[in-house]
Amino acid sequence: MSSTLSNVSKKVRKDKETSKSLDKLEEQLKNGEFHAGRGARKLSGTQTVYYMRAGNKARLFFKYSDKENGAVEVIGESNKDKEQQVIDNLKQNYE
Amino acid sequence: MKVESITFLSDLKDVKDIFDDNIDVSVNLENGRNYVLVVGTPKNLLRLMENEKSDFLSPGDPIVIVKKITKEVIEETIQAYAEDDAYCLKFYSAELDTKTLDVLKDRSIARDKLLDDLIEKGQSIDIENYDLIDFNIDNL
Repeated sequence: MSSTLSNVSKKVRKDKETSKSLDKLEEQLKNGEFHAGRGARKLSGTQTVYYMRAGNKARLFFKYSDKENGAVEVIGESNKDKEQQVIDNLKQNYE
Repeated sequence: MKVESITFLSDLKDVKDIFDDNIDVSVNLENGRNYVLVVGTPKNLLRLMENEKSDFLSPGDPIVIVKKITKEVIEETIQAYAEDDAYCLKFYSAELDTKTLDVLKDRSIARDKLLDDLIEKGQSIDIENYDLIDFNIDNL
């Protein structure tokens, strides 16, 4: 995760509910539960970035690993307030 | 309030069933602020509950309900939600922690009390809500 996105992650995780929700999304992502929450989507304007959305504020951005087939890598975390900011950053750094 | 731009955060072409889906929509208003809304269909609410194997939708942020997920319908919806100083758009996209909700409730209590006092004294209640941002409810 880039330093900018890492800072956003730290800030949004200050909210306990969001932090808990992000942890749950991460677990569901690892288990391949892409229908969890409001569902996973490919990020518009990219070819490789996807994101999962919790029922509440949390958004978890990920990409499939280049190294390991089927493995996923978390590349960003946000709430709805920071969602556009994180997406703008991801679009600059990922295809 | 004027809508400056609407961005669909995932591609509409990825929507398999326009009557059964939800999507994040980013809205920029003329006040320079950005708001993200979740827009979904009634059928999708049922599917989300089925996914959760639950008889109710788990507690979460409000979803703006539309008949179908199309560019035209969503844009029309956003315009409607942006009316009246964008109250509904701001409400549906609000990122509020519990403490903030408590503060807002306290503010409502203080406002009500102030209005009661003014009415009782026969004074005008023609005041701006913004006058009630700073308040103290300890003595109510």
